[in-house]
Amino acid sequence: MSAISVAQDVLTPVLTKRWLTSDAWTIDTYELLDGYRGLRKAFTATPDELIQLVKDSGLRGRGGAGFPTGLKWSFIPQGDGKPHYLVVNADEGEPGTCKDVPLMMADPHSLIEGIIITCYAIRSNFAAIYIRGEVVHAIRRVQNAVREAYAKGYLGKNILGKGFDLDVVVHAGAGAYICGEETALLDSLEGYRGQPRLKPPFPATNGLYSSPTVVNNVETIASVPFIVLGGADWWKSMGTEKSPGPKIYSISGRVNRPGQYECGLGTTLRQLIELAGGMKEGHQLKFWTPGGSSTPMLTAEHLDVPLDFEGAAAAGSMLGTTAVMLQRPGRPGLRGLPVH
Amino acid sequence: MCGVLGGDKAYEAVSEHLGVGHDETTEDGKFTLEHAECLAACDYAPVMTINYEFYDQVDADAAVDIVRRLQSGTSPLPSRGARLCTFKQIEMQLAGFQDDRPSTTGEGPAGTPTLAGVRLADSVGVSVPGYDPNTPIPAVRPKDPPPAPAKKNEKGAK
Ligand SMILES: Cc1cc2nc3c(=O)[nH]c(=O)nc-3n(C[C@H](O)[C@H](O)[C@H](O)COP(=O)(O)O)c2cc1C
Ligand code: FES
Repeated sequence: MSAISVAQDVLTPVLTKRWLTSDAWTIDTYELLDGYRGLRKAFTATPDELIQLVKDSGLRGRGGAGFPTGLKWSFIPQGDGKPHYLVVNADEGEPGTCKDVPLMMADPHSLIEGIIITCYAIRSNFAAIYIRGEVVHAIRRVQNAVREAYAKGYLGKNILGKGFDLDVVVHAGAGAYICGEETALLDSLEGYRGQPRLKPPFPATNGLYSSPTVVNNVETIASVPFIVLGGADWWKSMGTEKSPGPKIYSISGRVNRPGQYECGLGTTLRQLIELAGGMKEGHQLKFWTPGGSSTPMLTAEHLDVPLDFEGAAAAGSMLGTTAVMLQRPGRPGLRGLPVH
Repeated sequence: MCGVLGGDKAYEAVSEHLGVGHDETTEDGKFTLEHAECLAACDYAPVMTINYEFYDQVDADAAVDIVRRLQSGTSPLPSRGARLCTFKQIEMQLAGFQDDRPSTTGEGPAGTPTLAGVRLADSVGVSVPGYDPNTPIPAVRPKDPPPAPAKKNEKGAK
């Protein structure tokens, strides 16, 4: 098994593709690289058609739980006379997770474009992006993207002359892990102390300011323009039947080339290690966690487990955020990670 | 300073150099040291932040060197983006005020770990086949008017 053949088998550069262009985070470059083309196309369809498209694509939430995104959107009651909200979860607090920050740094407009399409689909005129406060550099890039999008008429009143209005605010979190949980996040946004709410009611009916709210992860929303452009069948050509699509795997720990590797869901640890240039000299795989430090630990026995929502669960763990951490032998697995 | 991949060693070195422990401030009031939780940059680990700006992949020597440069009055350039600013300025930014310094969004390409996968894909010529941005969005027949809304919950008490 060579790295090249593994790379050809499993890598699926979709969300990460623009990252190669060093100023893709500016709106002019983004537009040259198909940016906001998905939005223009989305506006040719009805909101219900977009919800159905995302359902058909099988997209599942990238924030950890893997809930079907189109289904979540369809829970928003329509014609209820209440305002609807979209809240983007950019808290990235699960230890080991480090995919949303690079996405917001390298390609923040894909997030903004995804937000506009999503809001159009769920009939929302207000979206908030909740970003953890420790990553000011990413906050600045997203704020910059929001400003640029307003200046070009992608945000604000009567977007692209289509009669749709949308305002987006960027909110910096105050650095508490629990605020990544969606209902705690909503409390924090409303200015209360972030504490999980009892469910039900669910955010879909009683979310931000007690109004119907969709909470989605950054990577989930950034996937939307690609689904709109490439279609549901193309999206499903990647990944596995129940967990379709590409996924950004973040590999950290004792490998030669840690980093972000976007592969079809269902890629195995053996393949990921190969992509990451193998284990560091003198290190052997002992424990690893597939999706952040709160996902149960796996061992070398699980090298060939397909890392999709079903595979990780069947192995007794969870896919979580696909933040794959490789611990070094002889070391307590979670040393150095916070205990909550 | 986060704790993995030698981060704890770097932390100890800085702690020894400054003569303070976790959450303690030096006598001159200039440095407060903190052990950090994961800073969402594990692929750049170990990382150190100063006034919220990131210094990536710092070992003990690099960490102490950065602190020394600060002590001597120079401002070591963070790894991603803007120059260092004061804690007060950062607090203003977190409160939602725009940072007016030029080029605070940070220039230049992303770091090696961010680009590891997409560079590998590029070097072996991988792209996802079958992508056609003109694929039609299937039509959905407008639904029949929704049934009369179920009795509304009384306003959820908060
Ligand atoms: C303790 C806790 C922390 C969480 N932290 C995050 C987080 O940092 N980012 C995130 O997107 N989701 C986080 N989640 C999941 C969210 O509650 C929510 O399920 C998710 O944002 C939904 O988006 P998705 O459907 O697009 O995945 C967390 C959940 C729990 C229970
Ligand atoms: S453990 Fe250091 S950034 Fe995650």
